[in-house]
Amino acid sequence: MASSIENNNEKLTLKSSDGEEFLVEKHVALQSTLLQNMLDSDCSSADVIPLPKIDARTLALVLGYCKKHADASSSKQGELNSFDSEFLKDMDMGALFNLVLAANFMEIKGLLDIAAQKIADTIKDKPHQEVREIFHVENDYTPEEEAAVREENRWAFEGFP
Amino acid sequence: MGSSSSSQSTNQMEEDLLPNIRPKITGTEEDSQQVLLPNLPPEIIVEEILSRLPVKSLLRLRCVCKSWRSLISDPNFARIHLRRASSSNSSTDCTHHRLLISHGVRSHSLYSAFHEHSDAAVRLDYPGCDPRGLGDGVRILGSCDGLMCIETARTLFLWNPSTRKSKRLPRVRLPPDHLSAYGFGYDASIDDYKVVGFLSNVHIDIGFHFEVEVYTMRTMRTDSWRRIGDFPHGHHPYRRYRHCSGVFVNGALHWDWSRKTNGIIVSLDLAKETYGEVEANLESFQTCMTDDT
Repeated sequence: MASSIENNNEKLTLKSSDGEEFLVEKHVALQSTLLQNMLDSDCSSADVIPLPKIDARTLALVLGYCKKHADASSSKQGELNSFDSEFLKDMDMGALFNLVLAANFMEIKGLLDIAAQKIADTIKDKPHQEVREIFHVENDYTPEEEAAVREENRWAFEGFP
Repeated sequence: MGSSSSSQSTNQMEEDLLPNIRPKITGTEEDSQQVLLPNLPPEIIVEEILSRLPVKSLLRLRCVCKSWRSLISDPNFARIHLRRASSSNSSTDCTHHRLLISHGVRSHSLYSAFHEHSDAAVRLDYPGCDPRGLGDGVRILGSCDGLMCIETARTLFLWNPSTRKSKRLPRVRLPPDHLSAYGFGYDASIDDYKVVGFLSNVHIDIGFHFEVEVYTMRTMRTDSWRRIGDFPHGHHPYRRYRHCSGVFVNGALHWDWSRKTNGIIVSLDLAKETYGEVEANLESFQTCMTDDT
């Protein structure tokens, strides 16, 4: 902990999959357990850290989230909560998927939680046919089999196609 | 060097990249206009997304494909789902909680409140429910992890109100209304749920004496009740004690036996099946019936 306070002004450079570089304050980067572990081990902050799975648009969003959460004091939980919901408010499903992948890779638990919850909230009232498409799942039921599975919980389908 | 401020690059990036990533919201499978969403690995879909869905949505999503059906029905998934539901700590989020309301000890209707943001109490069809509202009504014997143990029409049921599945329990040696105390809880040592019932015998000297039987939900080879050690306390025959439901805390059921024993709460450890005593602090001893889906 002491070292992170000493080096509060240190910055490091992250590189997105599409080659964009982001200069990040160290205390912001520490929101990511992945980066924290890298910094704790032998990785020098002078190096450019490549994040080959995360595109620039997603990385910018991730770092926006990290900055807000790193700068806010723990007493401002209410403010952070409203930031979180505003942050995700108009985000489309593609951006949410990318955020989940990035937060999972960079190990940012809070971001993973809110993005995954937002996806769950979005699909919870969608028909299963649409959810199938969203997650690229191939339907391996015959129409008869699917109808039989549906019949097992017919009540849950009231109002659904 | 690239962007020094992340908010700047957000704006810049959004203009460039937003149109490329659009979810497909409507249309049929044949619709070729769709731009593909990134693929999420199955473990993320399951652990992070499906585990946050309400039970009703999950029951529909069993129709997505065969592997989703078996996955959603899998006990391991149920465990992940339960853990997630019980750890959801936002005070405003009642999606995973419901309050079951009945009128009095025995009533004909059960109502569910708060569940899935519903602002009205919803009447539930419990197993054995008489649609004409006749019969004995229903008595709640206990609840744990979203499962209920109820008695209706002289039969005991284990019931999951969220999936609407239920299991009829075999008969106890005496009619269920002779069950003078009962309880329902979870035994972590065998990952299973147990129903406990007290059968009363009248002794001329000591009043009531209680034999105790246990029904284990899943791992019971023979679907029957099993007698364990007798309850260590009796009861005066003329004092009220009926319908005493045990409260499940920390792996043990607890009964308020304080009126008989000068402030003692009697516990039954569900793993060891041994009795213990706790000093009664009755203010903190409240029966609540919140239920995680």
